[in-house]
Amino acid sequence: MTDNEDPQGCTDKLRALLTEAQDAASKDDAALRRSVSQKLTQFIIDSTPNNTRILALDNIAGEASKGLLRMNIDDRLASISASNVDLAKLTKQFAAAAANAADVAGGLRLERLQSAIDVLNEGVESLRQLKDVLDNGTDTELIDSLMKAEAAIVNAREGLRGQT
Amino acid sequence: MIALRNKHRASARFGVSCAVASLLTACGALPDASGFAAAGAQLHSAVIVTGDVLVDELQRAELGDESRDMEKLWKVPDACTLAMKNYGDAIASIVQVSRDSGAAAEQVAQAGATFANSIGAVLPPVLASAEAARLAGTVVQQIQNERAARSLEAALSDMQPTVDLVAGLLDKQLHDADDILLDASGLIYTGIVQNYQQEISYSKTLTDARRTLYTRAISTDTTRQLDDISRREQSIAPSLKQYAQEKTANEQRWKTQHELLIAARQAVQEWAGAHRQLLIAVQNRSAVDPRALNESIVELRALLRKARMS
Repeated sequence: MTDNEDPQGCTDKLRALLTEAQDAASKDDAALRRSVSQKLTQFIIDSTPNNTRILALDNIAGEASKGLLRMNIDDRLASISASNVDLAKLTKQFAAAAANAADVAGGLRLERLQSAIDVLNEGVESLRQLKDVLDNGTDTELIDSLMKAEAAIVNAREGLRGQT
Repeated sequence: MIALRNKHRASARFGVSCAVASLLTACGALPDASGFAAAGAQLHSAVIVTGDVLVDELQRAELGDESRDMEKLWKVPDACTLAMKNYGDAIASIVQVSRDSGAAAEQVAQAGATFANSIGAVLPPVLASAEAARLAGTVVQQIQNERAARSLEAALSDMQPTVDLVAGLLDKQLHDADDILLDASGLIYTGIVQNYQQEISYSKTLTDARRTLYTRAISTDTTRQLDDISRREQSIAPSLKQYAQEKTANEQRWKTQHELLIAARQAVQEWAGAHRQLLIAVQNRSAVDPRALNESIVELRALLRKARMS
């Protein structure tokens, strides 16, 4: 219906759009709500002239348009909230797995130090064997050097043990 | 006696070489897990920025309650991706420790030999030679590789179902976030239209009046009316320009946010895929191809910068 205040029949157009909006609001269809919201916003752009009645219609269209989008947002927030319950459980699993992996890495580091100590132990043993062979000889200077080397390696080994 | 000892040494050397050779055949170097760790860190950053963008955008849409709810809700995916990042770091550290171990053992053996030589001791050749030091390093590394590989395989295979689950959930949440940003952008647009509805409507009225005049014969009266329309159009031009700028800025912001969300969702899938690849690589003792993951990290990094600036 048109009149002087509403020459384009905006009142009827908005009435039809609000019926669509009501339908969209009752359905769980975000795309439909978005589509009707866009039509309502377009209504504000298209409606003329600038009189009190049309501006009031624009305000109704604007609030209905926003209301539909707000419903969508609230639904998505509820969806995130629901999946957060499962996500929180999985977070604990990742934290536990990270702690286990860190323990494994720590264990390997200790093994690495132990391996280094083992290498030094072999060195000490070899020096002792060589010294035993040379003990039968007369090269006291060489035996003295070997004893110093053995002492130095033992020191290094003890230093590494301190890190384990 | 000496000949017999030399023979035993040679035999021992041969034995060790064979053992090393068999270990090398059994287990190659562990796959590089640093890319997986970097992808986890990047994904965590993307989730943090997404949370900030969501909170800001809901505030911009004048949805204070929803913005506060979002701030609380997003702490969960934030904490989850932090745990995922820490997990990736811990996995990478297992590989790193096993890689460092051989070099460390070799260094210790060489340092011992160098020191002993410097004070004049004559070490047994098997201990003093650089070859022996390298051998010691290789043996230690291979043993640690194997242990690390077994630990890694167990950790990765235990976590693969969890990784798949978390990838599905995060993808869904990021999809929800994308929808929220789209609707928030729609709300902001409607708000902009409402703010300028009088200027928009007036502009349309003037355009219609101008078109009507175009259909009439040119006269002093129509020219005067056209001049009048032009003056009126000029008076609302700054407001309409402002309206166009706000509308464009809103569209641009949404475009950047949408690109970020697409890249973040892609990064989640690639992170889960990288985990699967790492598991297969550890099982097969083969390498992983980091190209796809690296490309994704670079793209995500660029989008994060853009989203932070918008």
